[in-house]
Amino acid sequence: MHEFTNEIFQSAKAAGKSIISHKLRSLLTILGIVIGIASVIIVISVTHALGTVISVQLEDFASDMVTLQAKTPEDKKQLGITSQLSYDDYLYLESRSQFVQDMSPSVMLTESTPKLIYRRNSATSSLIGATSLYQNVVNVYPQYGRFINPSDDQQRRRVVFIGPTVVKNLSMKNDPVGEYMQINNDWFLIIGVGEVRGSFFGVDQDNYILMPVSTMRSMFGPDITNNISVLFRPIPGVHIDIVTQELTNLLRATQNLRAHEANTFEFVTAERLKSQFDSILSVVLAVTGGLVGVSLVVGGIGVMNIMLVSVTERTKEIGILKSLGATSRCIMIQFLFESILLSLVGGLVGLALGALFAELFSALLPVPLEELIPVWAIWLSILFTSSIGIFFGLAPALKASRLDPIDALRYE
Amino acid sequence: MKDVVLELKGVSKAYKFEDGEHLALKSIDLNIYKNSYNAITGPSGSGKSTLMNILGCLDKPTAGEYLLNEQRVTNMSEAQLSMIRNREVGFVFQNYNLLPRASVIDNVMQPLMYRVMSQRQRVDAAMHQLERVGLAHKSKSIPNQLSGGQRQRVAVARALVSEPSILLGDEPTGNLDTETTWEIMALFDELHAEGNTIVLVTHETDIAEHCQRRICIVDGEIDSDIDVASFYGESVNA
Repeated sequence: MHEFTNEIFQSAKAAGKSIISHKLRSLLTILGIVIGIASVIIVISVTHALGTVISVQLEDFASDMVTLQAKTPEDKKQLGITSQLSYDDYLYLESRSQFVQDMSPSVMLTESTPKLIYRRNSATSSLIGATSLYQNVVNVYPQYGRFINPSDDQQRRRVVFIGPTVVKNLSMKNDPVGEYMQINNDWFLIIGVGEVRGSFFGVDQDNYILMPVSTMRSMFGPDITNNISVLFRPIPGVHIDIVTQELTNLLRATQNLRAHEANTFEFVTAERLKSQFDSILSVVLAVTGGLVGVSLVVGGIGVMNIMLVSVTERTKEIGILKSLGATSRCIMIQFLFESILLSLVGGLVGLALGALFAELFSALLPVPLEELIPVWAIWLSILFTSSIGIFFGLAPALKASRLDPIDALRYE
Repeated sequence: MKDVVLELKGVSKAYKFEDGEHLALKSIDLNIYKNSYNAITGPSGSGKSTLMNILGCLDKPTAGEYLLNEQRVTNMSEAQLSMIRNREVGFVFQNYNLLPRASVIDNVMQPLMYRVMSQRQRVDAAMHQLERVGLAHKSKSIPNQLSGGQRQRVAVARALVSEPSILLGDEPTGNLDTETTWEIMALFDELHAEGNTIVLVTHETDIAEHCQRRICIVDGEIDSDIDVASFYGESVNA
């Protein structure tokens, strides 16, 4: 073995021994790093998990579904004008568009909450008016019974298709098809129950009541459809931009918008939702990452403090080692190793804690994750803690190595 | 002709203060011979500790020359001095200076850690020295489980493990009771008889009386230098 390799090896060994022989002090030293790295890992794994969940769920629910909704341009907003997308717009688009496969209005009752009564039980839910094509666009399939069909819509039948949560909340039997329930004092026939879809970020996807849009108009008056959303799917193989361009042209024409006027509507795609979520997530990651980074620096300062105290406390020991032939370099490497090792151990413990939390957190998620913590985050935290060890260990190590052996030996 | 191990030529040591400087050693000329048994005595503040630090390569003289085994120590770098301390000098201190958290064997092995050799060789060498001082059975103990006399014997074993050219004792019995002092001095006597070169710094005359040669330092100068062996032709212990 080479002289220098031996020096490094012996220093590393001495550093390890010193850490082990001061268990409590070592533990307290690494605490800051442990907490810092654990927070980093938690933040990264949570945002990573959210990102994954969002893209998986968006794909599951409606990867190629597009929502068309009213959007008030800024200049109109200042004039107090609110844009609307009406039922007539929907009918116009439906009859004229060539590139849309399925299209359904989606009318939400927003001003009041419908009161549901089944026997002696009551509950609330969101009421949506739609057409038979809604199930193709949104991917809602019946578990029991059937979906709304075109004749229900034409005849304005008082029928409803309900989500499984409604069945549960109203304590219905599993298959309530054929039974009647009351919505705002009107009687409705239950024609079907949807499949369980689970929740999307804590929002229950199964608490809904669907009725034909024509029935809804007859029940609440035609004003209910003054501002609606239109859901559609392009014909397979047709690019989304072509469809939105077509619909934009049609809508601008029917709404008599002039060339300089902005669109009074917008298209929301899964892709766009995802990119919106992603940009929110990356801001969250940057902000929390910054805060957590500060905590890591504080942890590093903690290591430096304890190391400086430790150098003073071990002045005599350093003197002894120097009298026995330890070079300054030897002493420096030993103390540097000690702080690197401490930081690294702290990093690994923090990593383990963070992973444990990520494991617990992932149990709450509706979809399984391919990787709990991204590999880059693991490497990053190892690299970062080592750098903290070097950076904050340098001052104590230099101080130790520069001690004069005579003064150090005399130190009590 | 006797072999010279240590050679001081006009060695001075000055300590600088804000209001001038203090000459702790004033142009000392001194030869220490191989297999000799020397005591450096003197009242406190006489400069004997300074001399000891220079002999042990812990400190450098401000003037003059110091040769250890014909190597010019005066111009050496910090790293070279470390190497000299490691290979040529064995220290025994008044307060033992053992590493408190390391076992006896680890303490004795410590000087060998700075040399390229196998761990087996280190352990063997350390055990050999512990046997030499009669503490092989305590190799796994830690220093504060030992008595003062035992600790000092560990320190002696550690000083011997690097097979140094010179064994330096700085008041090696200063913390020991009379009986243990006698034990440790008997050990030094034996080591001398085995051919080691020994220099003890002490202010106790009965310790100095063990040695063949007694060098008395007063105010940074050699006041007297008596070689007992040259008077009687043999050790005072005989």
